[in-house]
Amino acid sequence: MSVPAPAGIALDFDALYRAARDDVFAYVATLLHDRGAAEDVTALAFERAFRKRGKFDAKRGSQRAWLFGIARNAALDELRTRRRSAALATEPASDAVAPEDEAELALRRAAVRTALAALPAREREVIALKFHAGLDNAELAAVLEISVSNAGTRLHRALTTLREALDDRS
Amino acid sequence: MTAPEAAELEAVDAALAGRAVHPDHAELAELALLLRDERPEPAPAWAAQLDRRVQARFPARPRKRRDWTWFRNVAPAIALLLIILPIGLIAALGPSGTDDDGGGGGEATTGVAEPSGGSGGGAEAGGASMAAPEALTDRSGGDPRSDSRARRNVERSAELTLSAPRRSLDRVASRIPDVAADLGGYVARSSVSSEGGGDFRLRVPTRQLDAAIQRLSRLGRVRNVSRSSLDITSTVVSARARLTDARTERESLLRQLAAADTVNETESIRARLDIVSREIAAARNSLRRVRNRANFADLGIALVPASEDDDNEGAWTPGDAFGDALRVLEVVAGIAVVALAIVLPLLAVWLLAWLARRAVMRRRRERSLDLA
Repeated sequence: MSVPAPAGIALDFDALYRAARDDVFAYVATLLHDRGAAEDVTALAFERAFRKRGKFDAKRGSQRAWLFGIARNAALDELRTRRRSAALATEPASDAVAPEDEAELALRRAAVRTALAALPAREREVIALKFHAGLDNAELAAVLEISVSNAGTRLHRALTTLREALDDRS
Repeated sequence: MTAPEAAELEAVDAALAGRAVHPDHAELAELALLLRDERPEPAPAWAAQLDRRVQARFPARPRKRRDWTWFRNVAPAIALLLIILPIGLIAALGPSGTDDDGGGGGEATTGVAEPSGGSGGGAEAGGASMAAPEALTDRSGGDPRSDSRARRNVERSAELTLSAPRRSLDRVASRIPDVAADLGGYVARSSVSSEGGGDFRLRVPTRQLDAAIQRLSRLGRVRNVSRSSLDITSTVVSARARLTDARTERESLLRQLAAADTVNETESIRARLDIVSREIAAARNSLRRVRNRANFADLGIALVPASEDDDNEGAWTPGDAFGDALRVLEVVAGIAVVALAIVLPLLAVWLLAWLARRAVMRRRRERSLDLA
Protein backbone atom coordinates (compact mmCIF):
# COMPACT_ATOMS: atom_id res chain seq x y z
CA MET A 1 0.00 0.00 0.00
CA SER A 2 1.97 2.98 -1.20
CA VAL A 3 0.76 6.44 -1.97
CA PRO A 4 2.03 8.06 -5.15
CA ALA A 5 3.65 11.21 -3.86
CA PRO A 6 4.26 14.23 -6.04
CA ALA A 7 7.49 14.21 -7.97
CA GLY A 8 10.63 15.09 -6.05
CA ILE A 9 9.13 14.52 -2.62
CA ALA A 10 9.67 11.16 -1.02
CA LEU A 11 6.90 10.76 1.46
CA ASP A 12 5.73 7.24 2.17
CA PHE A 13 2.43 8.12 3.70
CA ASP A 14 1.45 4.55 4.47
CA ALA A 15 4.68 3.82 6.27
CA LEU A 16 4.31 7.03 8.20
CA TYR A 17 0.75 6.15 9.08
CA ARG A 18 1.67 2.69 10.28
CA ALA A 19 4.55 4.01 12.36
CA ALA A 20 2.78 6.97 13.87
CA ARG A 21 -0.92 6.14 14.17
CA ASP A 22 -0.84 5.08 17.80
CA ASP A 23 1.69 7.75 18.72
CA VAL A 24 -0.48 10.51 17.28
CA PHE A 25 -3.50 9.14 19.04
CA ALA A 26 -1.64 8.94 22.35
CA TYR A 27 -0.41 12.51 22.05
CA VAL A 28 -3.82 13.91 21.08
CA ALA A 29 -5.65 11.89 23.74
CA THR A 30 -3.30 13.11 26.46
CA LEU A 31 -3.63 16.67 25.29
CA LEU A 32 -7.40 16.69 24.87
CA HIS A 33 -8.32 14.46 27.79
CA ASP A 34 -11.03 13.03 25.60
CA ARG A 35 -10.67 9.70 23.89
CA GLY A 36 -13.57 10.22 21.49
CA ALA A 37 -12.32 13.62 20.43
CA ALA A 38 -8.81 12.21 20.15
CA GLU A 39 -10.03 9.59 17.70
CA ASP A 40 -11.73 12.23 15.55
CA VAL A 41 -8.76 14.58 15.69
CA THR A 42 -6.28 11.82 14.90
CA ALA A 43 -8.29 10.73 11.89
CA LEU A 44 -8.60 14.34 10.78
CA ALA A 45 -4.86 14.86 11.20
CA PHE A 46 -4.05 11.89 9.01
CA GLU A 47 -6.55 12.97 6.41
CA ARG A 48 -5.03 16.47 6.34
CA ALA A 49 -1.57 14.96 6.11
CA PHE A 50 -2.69 12.81 3.21
CA ARG A 51 -4.16 15.81 1.40
CA LYS A 52 -1.09 17.95 2.09
CA ARG A 53 1.50 15.27 1.47
CA GLY A 54 2.68 17.14 -1.61
CA LYS A 55 3.67 20.09 0.55
CA PHE A 56 5.99 18.11 2.79
CA ASP A 57 9.49 19.52 2.66
CA ALA A 58 12.18 17.26 4.04
CA LYS A 59 14.48 20.24 4.53
CA ARG A 60 12.17 21.65 7.17
CA GLY A 61 12.07 18.61 9.41
CA SER A 62 11.33 14.93 9.68
CA GLN A 63 8.13 13.33 8.48
CA ARG A 64 7.11 12.63 12.07
CA ALA A 65 7.65 16.22 13.11
CA TRP A 66 5.61 17.38 10.10
CA LEU A 67 2.82 14.96 10.93
CA PHE A 68 2.74 15.92 14.60
CA GLY A 69 2.64 19.59 13.60
CA ILE A 70 -0.53 18.87 11.66
CA ALA A 71 -1.93 16.84 14.53
CA ARG A 72 -1.11 19.60 16.98
CA ASN A 73 -2.94 22.20 14.91
CA ALA A 74 -5.96 19.93 14.66
CA ALA A 75 -5.90 19.27 18.39
CA LEU A 76 -5.57 22.96 19.24
CA ASP A 77 -8.44 23.73 16.87
CA GLU A 78 -10.48 21.17 18.73
CA LEU A 79 -9.51 22.75 22.03
CA ARG A 80 -10.39 26.16 20.69
CA THR A 81 -13.78 25.16 19.43
CA ARG A 82 -15.03 23.26 22.36
CA ARG A 83 -13.21 25.04 25.19
CA ARG A 84 -14.09 22.38 27.57
CA SER A 85 -12.22 19.53 29.02
CA ALA A 86 -13.68 16.14 29.35
CA ALA A 87 -12.36 13.57 31.70
CA LEU A 88 -9.88 11.28 30.09
CA ALA A 89 -11.50 7.98 29.49
CA THR A 90 -8.89 5.75 30.88
CA GLU A 91 -8.40 2.16 30.23
CA PRO A 92 -10.67 0.14 32.47
CA ALA A 93 -8.84 -1.01 35.58
CA SER A 94 -8.12 -4.66 35.86
CA ASP A 95 -10.44 -6.51 38.16
CA ALA A 96 -7.77 -9.02 39.04
CA VAL A 97 -6.40 -8.75 42.55
CA ALA A 98 -2.82 -7.63 42.32
CA PRO A 99 -0.11 -8.92 44.53
CA GLU A 100 1.43 -6.59 47.11
CA ASP A 101 4.22 -5.23 44.90
CA GLU A 102 1.89 -4.85 41.95
CA ALA A 103 -0.57 -2.96 44.11
CA GLU A 104 2.19 -0.55 45.04
CA LEU A 105 2.99 -0.05 41.35
CA ALA A 106 -0.67 0.47 40.53
CA LEU A 107 -0.88 3.15 43.16
CA ARG A 108 2.12 4.93 41.74
CA ARG A 109 0.67 4.73 38.25
CA ALA A 110 -2.59 6.17 39.46
CA ALA A 111 -0.73 8.99 41.14
CA VAL A 112 1.21 9.70 37.95
CA ARG A 113 -2.00 9.61 35.94
CA THR A 114 -3.69 12.05 38.28
CA ALA A 115 -0.72 14.38 38.38
CA LEU A 116 -0.44 14.31 34.62
CA ALA A 117 -4.10 15.15 34.23
CA ALA A 118 -3.67 18.08 36.59
CA LEU A 119 -0.75 19.53 34.65
CA PRO A 120 -1.33 22.71 32.65
CA ALA A 121 -2.11 21.86 29.04
CA ARG A 122 1.10 23.39 27.75
CA GLU A 123 3.24 21.18 30.01
CA ARG A 124 1.01 18.17 29.51
CA GLU A 125 1.54 18.57 25.79
CA VAL A 126 5.32 18.40 26.16
CA ILE A 127 5.03 15.26 28.29
CA ALA A 128 2.66 13.73 25.74
CA LEU A 129 5.00 14.46 22.84
CA LYS A 130 7.98 13.08 24.68
CA PHE A 131 6.66 10.04 26.52
CA HIS A 132 3.50 9.09 24.63
CA ALA A 133 4.40 10.02 21.08
CA GLY A 134 8.04 9.08 21.49
CA LEU A 135 9.52 12.15 19.87
CA ASP A 136 13.10 13.07 20.53
CA ASN A 137 13.97 16.59 21.62
CA ALA A 138 14.72 17.79 18.10
CA GLU A 139 11.37 16.57 16.79
CA LEU A 140 9.66 18.02 19.83
CA ALA A 141 11.26 21.38 19.07
CA ALA A 142 10.17 21.17 15.44
CA VAL A 143 6.57 20.41 16.37
CA LEU A 144 6.41 23.26 18.86
CA GLU A 145 8.36 25.53 16.48
CA ILE A 146 10.91 26.43 19.14
CA SER A 147 14.63 25.79 19.52
CA VAL A 148 15.93 22.43 20.75
CA SER A 149 17.36 24.08 23.85
CA ASN A 150 14.04 25.72 24.59
CA ALA A 151 12.29 22.43 24.03
CA GLY A 152 14.63 20.79 26.58
CA THR A 153 13.94 23.55 29.06
CA ARG A 154 10.19 23.15 28.63
CA LEU A 155 10.44 19.40 29.03
CA HIS A 156 12.51 19.69 32.20
CA ARG A 157 10.11 22.25 33.63
CA ALA A 158 7.15 19.96 32.92
CA LEU A 159 8.93 17.05 34.58
CA THR A 160 9.78 19.20 37.58
CA THR A 161 6.15 20.30 37.92
CA LEU A 162 5.05 16.69 37.66
CA ARG A 163 7.56 15.54 40.27
CA GLU A 164 6.49 18.31 42.62
CA ALA A 165 2.88 17.31 42.18
CA LEU A 166 3.73 13.70 42.93
CA ASP A 167 5.74 14.73 45.99
CA ASP A 168 2.80 16.76 47.23
CA ARG A 169 0.54 13.75 46.89
CA SER A 170 2.84 11.30 48.63
CA MET B 1 19.30 24.87 30.07
CA THR B 2 21.74 24.15 32.90
CA ALA B 3 24.07 21.16 33.09
CA PRO B 4 22.08 19.35 35.80
CA GLU B 5 18.95 19.81 33.73
CA ALA B 6 20.68 18.41 30.69
CA ALA B 7 21.94 15.47 32.75
CA GLU B 8 18.43 14.73 33.97
CA LEU B 9 17.06 14.80 30.45
CA GLU B 10 19.81 12.46 29.34
CA ALA B 11 18.82 10.12 32.14
CA VAL B 12 15.22 10.25 30.92
CA ASP B 13 16.32 9.37 27.40
CA ALA B 14 18.49 6.56 28.73
CA ALA B 15 15.61 5.14 30.75
CA LEU B 16 13.25 5.28 27.79
CA ALA B 17 15.88 3.58 25.68
CA GLY B 18 16.36 0.83 28.30
CA ARG B 19 19.87 1.84 29.19
CA ALA B 20 21.33 1.99 32.69
CA VAL B 21 20.79 5.21 34.63
CA HIS B 22 22.90 6.73 37.37
CA PRO B 23 21.42 6.01 40.81
CA ASP B 24 20.99 9.76 41.40
CA HIS B 25 18.45 9.78 38.59
CA ALA B 26 16.74 6.51 39.41
CA GLU B 27 13.59 8.19 40.64
CA LEU B 28 13.39 10.29 37.48
CA ALA B 29 13.98 7.24 35.32
CA GLU B 30 11.17 5.45 37.07
CA LEU B 31 8.88 8.41 36.48
CA ALA B 32 9.80 8.40 32.79
CA LEU B 33 8.87 4.73 32.48
CA LEU B 34 5.66 5.25 34.37
CA LEU B 35 4.76 8.13 32.08
CA ARG B 36 5.48 5.99 29.04
CA ASP B 37 3.30 3.26 30.43
CA GLU B 38 0.47 5.75 30.86
CA ARG B 39 0.32 6.25 27.14
CA PRO B 40 -3.29 5.98 25.92
CA GLU B 41 -3.78 3.23 23.39
CA PRO B 42 -6.37 3.47 20.63
CA ALA B 43 -9.33 1.17 20.61
CA PRO B 44 -8.80 -1.68 18.14
CA ALA B 45 -12.15 -1.01 16.47
CA TRP B 46 -11.30 2.62 15.83
CA ALA B 47 -7.80 1.69 14.62
CA ALA B 48 -9.27 -0.83 12.20
CA GLN B 49 -11.76 1.73 10.93
CA LEU B 50 -9.03 4.31 10.38
CA ASP B 51 -6.94 1.69 8.59
CA ARG B 52 -9.81 1.13 6.21
CA ARG B 53 -10.20 4.84 5.59
CA VAL B 54 -6.50 5.16 4.85
CA GLN B 55 -6.68 2.23 2.47
CA ALA B 56 -9.65 3.88 0.76
CA ARG B 57 -7.68 7.12 0.57
CA PHE B 58 -10.03 9.03 2.82
CA PRO B 59 -13.28 8.94 0.86
CA ALA B 60 -15.46 12.01 1.18
CA ARG B 61 -17.28 12.17 4.43
CA PRO B 62 -21.04 12.22 4.38
CA ARG B 63 -20.90 15.47 6.33
CA LYS B 64 -22.58 18.29 4.52
CA ARG B 65 -20.17 20.83 3.20
CA ARG B 66 -20.76 24.11 1.55
CA ASP B 67 -20.83 23.77 -2.18
CA TRP B 68 -18.32 26.10 -3.80
CA THR B 69 -18.34 24.46 -7.19
CA TRP B 70 -20.42 27.28 -8.66
CA PHE B 71 -17.77 29.74 -7.53
CA ARG B 72 -15.00 27.63 -9.01
CA ASN B 73 -16.89 27.61 -12.30
CA VAL B 74 -17.36 31.35 -12.48
CA ALA B 75 -14.08 32.35 -10.85
CA PRO B 76 -12.13 32.50 -14.15
CA ALA B 77 -14.84 34.62 -15.72
CA ILE B 78 -14.87 36.98 -12.74
CA ALA B 79 -11.09 37.25 -12.81
CA LEU B 80 -11.16 37.96 -16.55
CA LEU B 81 -13.85 40.57 -16.04
CA LEU B 82 -11.84 42.23 -13.29
CA ILE B 83 -8.92 42.51 -15.65
CA ILE B 84 -10.80 43.50 -18.80
CA LEU B 85 -13.20 45.97 -17.20
CA PRO B 86 -10.58 48.46 -16.01
CA ILE B 87 -8.70 48.10 -19.27
CA GLY B 88 -11.88 48.87 -21.18
CA LEU B 89 -12.59 51.82 -18.94
CA ILE B 90 -9.10 53.15 -19.42
CA ALA B 91 -9.38 52.66 -23.16
CA ALA B 92 -12.76 54.40 -23.19
CA LEU B 93 -11.79 57.31 -20.97
CA GLY B 94 -8.20 57.70 -22.05
CA PRO B 95 -6.94 59.99 -24.78
CA SER B 96 -7.70 58.71 -28.25
CA GLY B 97 -4.77 58.27 -30.56
CA THR B 98 -4.47 59.87 -33.97
CA ASP B 99 -5.34 57.90 -37.02
CA ASP B 100 -2.73 58.20 -39.65
CA ASP B 101 -4.30 56.41 -42.52
CA GLY B 102 -6.20 59.33 -43.88
CA GLY B 103 -8.49 59.26 -46.83
CA GLY B 104 -11.38 57.80 -44.99
CA GLY B 105 -14.69 59.41 -44.67
CA GLY B 106 -16.23 60.25 -41.41
CA GLU B 107 -19.38 60.96 -39.55
CA ALA B 108 -20.83 64.33 -40.27
CA THR B 109 -23.16 66.33 -38.18
CA THR B 110 -24.30 69.71 -39.08
CA GLY B 111 -25.52 72.69 -37.16
CA VAL B 112 -25.53 75.23 -39.86
CA ALA B 113 -27.46 78.35 -39.00
CA GLU B 114 -29.15 76.45 -36.24
CA PRO B 115 -29.64 77.43 -32.64
CA SER B 116 -26.78 78.08 -30.33
CA GLY B 117 -24.05 75.69 -29.44
CA GLY B 118 -21.89 76.44 -32.36
CA SER B 119 -21.35 74.22 -35.26
CA GLY B 120 -21.46 70.56 -34.84
CA GLY B 121 -18.59 69.84 -37.13
CA GLY B 122 -17.85 66.29 -36.29
CA ALA B 123 -16.36 65.16 -39.52
CA GLU B 124 -13.35 63.05 -38.86
CA ALA B 125 -11.37 63.08 -42.00
CA GLY B 126 -8.46 60.75 -41.74
CA GLY B 127 -5.42 62.03 -40.01
CA ALA B 128 -6.24 65.61 -40.55
CA SER B 129 -5.78 68.07 -37.80
CA MET B 130 -8.81 70.16 -37.27
CA ALA B 131 -9.25 73.64 -36.01
CA ALA B 132 -11.68 74.03 -33.15
CA PRO B 133 -14.99 74.98 -34.70
CA GLU B 134 -15.87 77.68 -32.26
CA ALA B 135 -18.55 80.09 -33.27
CA LEU B 136 -17.36 83.63 -32.98
CA THR B 137 -19.73 86.54 -32.82
CA ASP B 138 -19.67 89.10 -35.55
CA ARG B 139 -19.18 92.24 -33.53
CA SER B 140 -19.35 94.58 -36.48
CA GLY B 141 -22.71 96.27 -36.39
CA GLY B 142 -24.13 93.98 -33.75
CA ASP B 143 -27.56 94.41 -32.34
CA PRO B 144 -28.21 93.81 -28.64
CA ARG B 145 -31.59 92.34 -29.49
CA SER B 146 -29.89 89.54 -31.36
CA ASP B 147 -28.41 87.95 -28.22
CA SER B 148 -31.73 86.63 -27.04
CA ARG B 149 -32.59 84.97 -30.30
CA ALA B 150 -32.93 81.24 -30.17
CA ARG B 151 -32.31 80.72 -33.84
CA ARG B 152 -28.79 81.75 -34.62
CA ASN B 153 -27.27 82.68 -37.93
CA VAL B 154 -23.82 81.18 -38.20
CA GLU B 155 -21.39 81.70 -41.01
CA ARG B 156 -19.26 78.64 -41.50
CA SER B 157 -16.18 77.97 -43.51
CA ALA B 158 -13.66 75.22 -43.90
CA GLU B 159 -10.29 74.62 -45.44
CA LEU B 160 -9.39 71.22 -46.79
CA THR B 161 -6.03 70.07 -48.04
CA LEU B 162 -6.21 67.00 -50.23
CA SER B 163 -3.36 65.07 -51.73
CA ALA B 164 -3.58 62.74 -54.66
CA PRO B 165 -1.07 60.97 -56.89
CA ARG B 166 0.11 63.15 -59.73
CA ARG B 167 -1.52 60.90 -62.25
CA SER B 168 -4.84 61.36 -60.49
CA LEU B 169 -4.75 65.10 -59.97
CA ASP B 170 -6.82 65.88 -63.04
CA ARG B 171 -9.42 63.29 -62.19
CA VAL B 172 -9.75 64.57 -58.63
CA ALA B 173 -9.84 68.18 -59.80
CA SER B 174 -12.62 67.38 -62.22
CA ARG B 175 -14.72 65.73 -59.57
CA ILE B 176 -14.60 68.57 -57.08
CA PRO B 177 -17.09 70.76 -59.00
CA ASP B 178 -19.35 67.70 -59.34
CA VAL B 179 -19.41 67.27 -55.62
CA ALA B 180 -20.22 70.95 -55.16
CA ALA B 181 -23.02 70.76 -57.70
CA ASP B 182 -24.46 67.59 -56.24
CA LEU B 183 -24.80 69.28 -52.90
CA GLY B 184 -26.39 72.41 -54.29
CA GLY B 185 -23.23 74.48 -54.30
CA TYR B 186 -20.90 75.87 -56.87
CA VAL B 187 -17.27 76.62 -57.56
CA ALA B 188 -16.65 80.27 -56.82
CA ARG B 189 -13.05 80.23 -57.88
CA SER B 190 -10.59 77.61 -59.07
CA SER B 191 -7.06 77.34 -60.26
CA VAL B 192 -5.77 73.95 -61.42
CA SER B 193 -2.63 72.63 -63.03
CA SER B 194 -1.99 69.01 -63.96
CA GLU B 195 1.42 69.01 -62.22
CA GLY B 196 0.98 71.13 -59.17
CA GLY B 197 -2.60 70.49 -58.20
CA GLY B 198 -4.86 73.43 -57.64
CA ASP B 199 -6.97 75.59 -55.40
CA PHE B 200 -10.72 75.67 -55.25
CA ARG B 201 -13.08 77.98 -53.48
CA LEU B 202 -16.50 76.37 -53.22
CA ARG B 203 -19.72 77.79 -51.97
CA VAL B 204 -21.95 75.06 -50.63
CA PRO B 205 -25.13 75.21 -48.62
CA THR B 206 -24.10 75.49 -45.00
CA ARG B 207 -26.16 72.45 -44.10
CA GLN B 208 -24.17 70.44 -46.64
CA LEU B 209 -20.74 71.57 -45.52
CA ASP B 210 -19.95 68.44 -43.53
CA ALA B 211 -21.30 66.23 -46.27
CA ALA B 212 -19.13 68.09 -48.75
CA ILE B 213 -16.03 67.60 -46.62
CA GLN B 214 -16.89 63.96 -46.21
CA ARG B 215 -17.34 63.38 -49.94
CA LEU B 216 -14.31 65.39 -50.91
CA SER B 217 -12.21 63.48 -48.38
CA ARG B 218 -12.88 60.34 -50.36
CA LEU B 219 -11.30 61.80 -53.45
CA GLY B 220 -7.79 61.80 -51.99
CA ARG B 221 -5.76 61.66 -48.84
CA VAL B 222 -6.72 64.32 -46.37
CA ARG B 223 -3.67 66.23 -45.24
CA ASN B 224 -5.48 68.82 -43.23
CA VAL B 225 -8.95 70.05 -42.54
CA SER B 226 -9.86 73.09 -40.53
CA ARG B 227 -13.18 74.63 -39.77
CA SER B 228 -14.32 77.93 -38.48
CA SER B 229 -17.63 79.50 -37.71
CA LEU B 230 -18.83 82.98 -36.97
CA ASP B 231 -22.08 83.96 -35.35
CA ILE B 232 -23.59 86.68 -37.53
CA THR B 233 -27.01 86.78 -35.97
CA SER B 234 -26.50 90.35 -34.84
CA THR B 235 -25.57 91.39 -38.37
CA VAL B 236 -28.69 89.77 -39.77
CA VAL B 237 -30.86 91.42 -37.14
CA SER B 238 -29.30 94.80 -37.85
CA ALA B 239 -29.80 94.45 -41.60
CA ARG B 240 -33.39 93.42 -41.13
CA ALA B 241 -33.97 96.31 -38.74
CA ARG B 242 -32.58 98.79 -41.26
CA LEU B 243 -34.86 97.41 -43.96
CA THR B 244 -37.88 97.55 -41.68
CA ASP B 245 -37.07 101.11 -40.63
CA ALA B 246 -36.69 102.21 -44.24
CA ARG B 247 -39.98 100.62 -45.24
CA THR B 248 -41.73 102.25 -42.31
CA GLU B 249 -40.31 105.60 -43.36
CA ARG B 250 -41.44 105.09 -46.94
CA GLU B 251 -44.98 104.32 -45.83
CA SER B 252 -44.93 107.43 -43.72
CA LEU B 253 -43.68 109.50 -46.67
CA LEU B 254 -46.36 108.04 -48.91
CA ARG B 255 -49.00 109.08 -46.42
CA GLN B 256 -47.43 112.56 -46.28
CA LEU B 257 -47.38 112.69 -50.07
CA ALA B 258 -51.05 111.89 -50.24
CA ALA B 259 -51.75 114.69 -47.84
CA ALA B 260 -49.41 117.22 -49.47
CA ASP B 261 -51.10 120.45 -50.61
CA THR B 262 -48.35 122.41 -52.29
CA VAL B 263 -46.03 121.64 -55.17
CA ASN B 264 -42.98 122.36 -53.09
CA GLU B 265 -44.10 120.03 -50.39
CA THR B 266 -44.82 117.34 -52.94
CA GLU B 267 -41.41 117.75 -54.57
CA SER B 268 -39.66 117.58 -51.23
CA ILE B 269 -41.47 114.41 -50.24
CA ARG B 270 -40.77 112.78 -53.60
CA ALA B 271 -37.07 113.56 -53.22
CA ARG B 272 -37.09 112.05 -49.78
CA LEU B 273 -38.96 109.00 -51.14
CA ASP B 274 -36.25 108.46 -53.75
CA ILE B 275 -33.62 108.48 -51.05
CA VAL B 276 -35.60 106.10 -48.87
CA SER B 277 -36.22 103.80 -51.84
CA ARG B 278 -32.50 103.60 -52.43
CA GLU B 279 -31.98 102.92 -48.74
CA ILE B 280 -34.56 100.14 -48.93
CA ALA B 281 -32.80 98.61 -51.90
CA ALA B 282 -29.47 98.84 -50.15
CA ALA B 283 -30.89 97.37 -46.95
CA ARG B 284 -32.50 94.54 -48.88
CA ASN B 285 -29.22 93.77 -50.63
CA SER B 286 -27.40 93.92 -47.34
CA LEU B 287 -29.85 91.54 -45.77
CA ARG B 288 -29.60 89.20 -48.74
CA ARG B 289 -25.83 89.22 -48.56
CA VAL B 290 -25.70 88.54 -44.88
CA ARG B 291 -28.28 85.78 -45.22
CA ASN B 292 -26.22 84.33 -48.00
CA ARG B 293 -23.26 84.28 -45.67
CA ALA B 294 -25.27 82.17 -43.28
CA ASN B 295 -26.85 79.96 -45.91
CA PHE B 296 -23.73 79.21 -47.89
CA ALA B 297 -20.45 78.12 -46.44
CA ASP B 298 -17.09 78.91 -47.90
CA LEU B 299 -15.07 75.79 -48.55
CA GLY B 300 -11.47 76.16 -49.64
CA ILE B 301 -9.74 73.15 -51.13
CA ALA B 302 -6.04 72.86 -51.75
CA LEU B 303 -5.28 69.94 -54.03
CA VAL B 304 -1.64 68.91 -53.82
CA PRO B 305 0.38 66.10 -55.39
CA ALA B 306 0.93 63.15 -53.09
CA SER B 307 4.39 62.59 -51.65
CA GLU B 308 6.33 59.37 -52.07
CA ASP B 309 5.05 58.03 -48.79
CA ASP B 310 1.53 58.65 -49.93
CA ASP B 311 2.24 56.91 -53.22
CA ASN B 312 3.32 53.84 -51.29
CA GLU B 313 0.05 53.79 -49.47
CA GLY B 314 -1.53 50.39 -49.71
CA ALA B 315 1.68 48.47 -50.21
CA TRP B 316 2.37 46.50 -47.07
CA THR B 317 6.13 46.45 -46.76
CA PRO B 318 8.34 44.50 -44.35
CA GLY B 319 8.87 47.79 -42.57
CA ASP B 320 5.14 48.07 -42.11
CA ALA B 321 5.06 44.51 -40.84
CA PHE B 322 7.79 45.30 -38.34
CA GLY B 323 5.95 48.40 -37.24
CA ASP B 324 2.71 46.48 -36.87
CA ALA B 325 4.46 43.77 -34.90
CA LEU B 326 5.98 46.40 -32.65
CA ARG B 327 2.60 47.98 -32.17
CA VAL B 328 1.08 44.63 -31.24
CA LEU B 329 3.85 44.06 -28.72
CA GLU B 330 3.27 47.52 -27.30
CA VAL B 331 -0.42 46.82 -26.88
CA VAL B 332 0.26 43.44 -25.29
CA ALA B 333 2.81 45.00 -22.97
CA GLY B 334 0.35 47.75 -22.11
CA ILE B 335 -2.35 45.25 -21.29
CA ALA B 336 0.12 43.28 -19.20
CA VAL B 337 1.14 46.39 -17.29
CA VAL B 338 -2.47 47.34 -16.64
CA ALA B 339 -3.26 43.79 -15.59
CA LEU B 340 -0.28 43.76 -13.28
CA ALA B 341 -1.32 47.10 -11.86
CA ILE B 342 -4.60 45.47 -10.94
CA VAL B 343 -3.37 42.06 -9.92
CA LEU B 344 -0.31 43.04 -7.89
CA PRO B 345 -2.15 45.17 -5.31
CA LEU B 346 -4.80 42.48 -5.02
CA LEU B 347 -2.07 39.91 -4.57
CA ALA B 348 -0.37 42.05 -1.94
CA VAL B 349 -3.64 42.49 -0.09
CA TRP B 350 -4.34 38.78 -0.30
CA LEU B 351 -0.83 37.98 0.95
CA LEU B 352 -1.15 40.38 3.88
CA ALA B 353 -4.55 38.97 4.72
CA TRP B 354 -3.19 35.45 4.53
CA LEU B 355 -0.25 36.29 6.79
CA ALA B 356 -2.50 38.09 9.24
CA ARG B 357 -4.95 35.20 9.29
CA ARG B 358 -2.13 32.77 9.85
CA ALA B 359 -0.72 34.84 12.73
CA VAL B 360 -4.14 35.24 14.30
CA MET B 361 -4.87 31.55 13.91
CA ARG B 362 -1.58 30.60 15.51
CA ARG B 363 -2.14 32.99 18.37
CA ARG B 364 -5.63 31.64 18.95
CA ARG B 365 -4.36 28.08 18.93
CA GLU B 366 -1.64 28.85 21.45
CA ARG B 367 -4.15 30.72 23.57
CA SER B 368 -6.49 27.76 23.52
CA LEU B 369 -3.68 25.71 25.00
CA ASP B 370 -3.35 28.16 27.88
CA LEU B 371 -7.09 28.20 28.46
CA ALA B 372 -7.48 24.43 28.38
